Amino acid sequence: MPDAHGFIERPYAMKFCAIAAALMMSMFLVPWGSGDLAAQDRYDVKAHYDKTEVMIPMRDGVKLFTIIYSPKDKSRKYPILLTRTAYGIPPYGPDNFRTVVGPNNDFARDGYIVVYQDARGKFKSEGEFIHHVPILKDSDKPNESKDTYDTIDWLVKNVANNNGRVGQWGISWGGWQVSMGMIDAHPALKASSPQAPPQDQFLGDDHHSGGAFQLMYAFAWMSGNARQRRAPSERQDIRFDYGTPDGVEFFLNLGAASNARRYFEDDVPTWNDYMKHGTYDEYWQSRNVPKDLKNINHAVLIVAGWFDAQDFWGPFRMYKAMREFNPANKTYYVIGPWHHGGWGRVDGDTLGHLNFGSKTGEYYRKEIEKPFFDYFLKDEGKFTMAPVMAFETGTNTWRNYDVWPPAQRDEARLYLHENGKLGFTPPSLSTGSDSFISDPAKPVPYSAEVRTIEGHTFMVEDQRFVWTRPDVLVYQTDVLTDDVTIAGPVQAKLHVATTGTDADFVVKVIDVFPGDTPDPRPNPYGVRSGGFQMLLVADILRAKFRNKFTTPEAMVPNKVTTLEFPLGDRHHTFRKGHKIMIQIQSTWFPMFDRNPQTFVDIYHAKDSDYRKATHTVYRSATAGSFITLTLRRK
Amino acid sequence: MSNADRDYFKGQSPTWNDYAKHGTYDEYWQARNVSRDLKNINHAVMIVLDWFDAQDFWGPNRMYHAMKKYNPNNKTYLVAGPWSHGGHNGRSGDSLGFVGFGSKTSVYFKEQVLLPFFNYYLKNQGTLNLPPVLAFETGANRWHSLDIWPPPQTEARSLYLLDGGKVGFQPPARSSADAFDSYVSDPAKPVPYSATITTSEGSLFMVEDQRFVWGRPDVLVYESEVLSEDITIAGSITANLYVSTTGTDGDWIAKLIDVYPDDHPDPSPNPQNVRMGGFQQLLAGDIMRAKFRNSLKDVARLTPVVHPQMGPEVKKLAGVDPMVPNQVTHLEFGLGDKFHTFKKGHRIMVQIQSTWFPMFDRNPQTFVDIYRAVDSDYQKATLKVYRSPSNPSHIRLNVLKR
Repeated sequence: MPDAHGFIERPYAMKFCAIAAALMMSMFLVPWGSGDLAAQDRYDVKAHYDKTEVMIPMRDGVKLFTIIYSPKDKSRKYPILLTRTAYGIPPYGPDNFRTVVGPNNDFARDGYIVVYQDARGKFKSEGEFIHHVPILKDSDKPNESKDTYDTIDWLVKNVANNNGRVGQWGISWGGWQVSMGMIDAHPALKASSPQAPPQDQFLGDDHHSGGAFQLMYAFAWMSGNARQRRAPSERQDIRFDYGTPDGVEFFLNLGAASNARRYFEDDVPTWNDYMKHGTYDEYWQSRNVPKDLKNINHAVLIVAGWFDAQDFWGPFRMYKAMREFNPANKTYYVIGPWHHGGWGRVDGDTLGHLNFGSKTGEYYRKEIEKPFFDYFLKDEGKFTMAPVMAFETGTNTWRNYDVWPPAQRDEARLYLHENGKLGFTPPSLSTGSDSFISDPAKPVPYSAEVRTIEGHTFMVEDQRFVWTRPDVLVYQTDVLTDDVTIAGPVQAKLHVATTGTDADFVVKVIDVFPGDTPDPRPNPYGVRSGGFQMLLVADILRAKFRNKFTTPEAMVPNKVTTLEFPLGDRHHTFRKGHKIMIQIQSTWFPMFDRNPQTFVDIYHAKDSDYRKATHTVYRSATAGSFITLTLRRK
Repeated sequence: MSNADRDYFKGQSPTWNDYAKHGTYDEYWQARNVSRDLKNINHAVMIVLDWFDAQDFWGPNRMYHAMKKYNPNNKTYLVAGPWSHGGHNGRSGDSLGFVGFGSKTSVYFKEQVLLPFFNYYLKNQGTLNLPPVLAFETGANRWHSLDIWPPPQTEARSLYLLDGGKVGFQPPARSSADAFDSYVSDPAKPVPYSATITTSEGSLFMVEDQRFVWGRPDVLVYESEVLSEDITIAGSITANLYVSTTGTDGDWIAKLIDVYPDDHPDPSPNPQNVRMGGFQQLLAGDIMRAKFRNSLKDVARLTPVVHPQMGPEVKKLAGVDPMVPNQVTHLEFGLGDKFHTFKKGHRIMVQIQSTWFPMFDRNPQTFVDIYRAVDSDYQKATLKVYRSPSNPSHIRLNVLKR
């Protein structure tokens, strides 16, 4: 199966296995052929493009392997579209051509010089790979900002027929590369599209959230993408063999997260770094990207997916930093109903069992991404996109805004009440709480699917697979008599107590469909839509980080403690007739590692440190628990 | 439970009213026991039993034993195949859920068994080569001709619940005196019987992958080592649990599960994306409502051998006994017969839980007439299952001798 970005040709690129799986899943849900971009994006690249492979020297003498696709038609000049990646740029060899060049073949058809480069230390490039190498001021050490600058400088001076303008784009790790290129940018850089760019892998994004460790994803990514190499090579890392299709079984058997070392044999420096840096220390702070997003003066199109399981934190923080540090810059932000990278490759009319009513991915590619680069790199056409375009799920409508979150907004609190009720009025009872026992040996699964790789459909999965567990607290509103539209951040504030000295709290906000919601037709998976508990947004907080991510603090057993944490932004309408539900739990496994529930350095915890604890969530007038919704003002 | 009548039947369902009135094995039920009436039968009888029948699995087996007991010279045949309720009349019978049987067992039944049976006895056509018992062995997927069910070439072996979530054929070590596992059973948070969202029970849950519940804190899980050779069971499966509760009544469910090897291949094609590696196939399971623990023992002892209609046993069989809080109590109950091979490389798993909802109603865990219980009677309780030398909970299997 050909693929737009060649990732399926490299089945061992774990970072993108999720995307490959996503592609497969979407095919299950929509008629064959309509989900796969490459299948409908046929273009004879070889007939129209020349391919050159070059080693481009950086300022420190290290040479980076680069592939240049140039239009055979030399009668015009073309801008350069650059992608730099850690995941390989196959096919290698001067006579082997990609089936898709650029974000999609519309770019190839219109004429762009498309350049791919292996990042420093990866595949056929020289040098040492350091994961998310920080930009250190006044340091001679290499970084990706300098490498991008040097690459662009070489390209505009050496590639024939270029028009002197460069654009860069990339998804995920590639999006991070784009953000590096935006900093201290080469003057020829005129347009950047960071797509799902991770911006801080401790505060959010791929590997942590709320201070908890994304065990399942980090394990997959490290084992597939971060092993030390002996020499430059076209070969991808060997895919890790879990020995079972069941990630719950694998990670339960693994025991304490620190035991993963036995599989990595010190061959994965990044894993060792993570285990060493269990708090938001200098290692992580230096890698925070938003602090460096200053003096940016070229068009930027940030892309985010509402249901991105990997890099959702990043694009929102990047957008915020761009607004704060570069208020006059041409910065655009598009957020659609996509999984990680979904905008680049699938129709985007469905996700899991949801239907969005139109081909949102195709719309983005044709009406946003292509016009953006055409306008800023070629002076072609018009670019009339609003500063923010956000897809509103629930009503399935694109909305234009000047700013995110929209200026016309209100806040509303949804309070936990007795008997599993949820309501917009604060509790009046002077006491009230719900308790559950959280047992690290019996963690709540994050998905009903049996799988070792995280995937993405869990982001909108029916939560009925866990709602009757005794370690899941459930609260829901009465049936809504009016639409409730949220546009912006969703925050949780809980009053809790635990018998242990640390604990995780997971808050999930769920859209409950009416009992008579019709099932999809056709319905090959036997989905029952009536009463469907669609996960909308959720996140976790490791309680020891409740005050500062730099400074963990033990919980005091049985003392009521306030936890306040973001669940992420959404633009969604809970329709009239639906209900809003909140589920609270203390494990979300194996997506997140388990909290030993004893105050220890979890990355050095032993199996015996993991203990049962009883957690209490309060819902009284003086110690209420609630989520804060950002409502769009009508 | 009483709400069902209040909200839906409103006194208009006579059978429901009868059931609600007769919450124990009283005269109403005893009078309806068929086995005791199966006497003086003198014509060919072919009893068909479906191994994975969610509705009427108890009946055909009891009927077979009554026929053998009361009509030993009659031409009685038993056919037991890998079917759901009525599945023997189905189109193929080559699989159930995600479990394959290697051949079209229903076609075989209809063409080679059912039609020849009637042709022979009603038309004098053909010959009938049907053995007294024709039984399909699941796991190994083959038919067996037997003289009698269960086959006598078995030895009873006990699979004990052990420390560390293990089961094994050796009893608990001395060091595990007073050892138990405990869980809280909350009627407000019952364990579902199936991952399928459905209002009518269906049949595939009988062989469903139990991974949808094995991670719950109110499900105890015990697993054997990987089997180094095939183990074939043929006959009854009996749970012997030593339990206690903080309440005055309780339900205990024991499930016997065949765990596939981690590298078991997925079906091809695989449109439903099932993952067979580590698949926890439900093989047998049943429930014991603890207040009936003594009277049901008597029922098991007495039927179908004697029927005590209107006799002194009536009251005894209808008896109920509350649980004494925190007192270790022995429960013995059958999980139904099976003829199955746990293959080399597989593992045997036992899961214990106290709700199996909504297939079974919930136990209020307080000693009441459940059909008249109100919502507030349903209480959480902490339940223990012991696995010590003096209270060795185990599953009794009949293992085929080789």
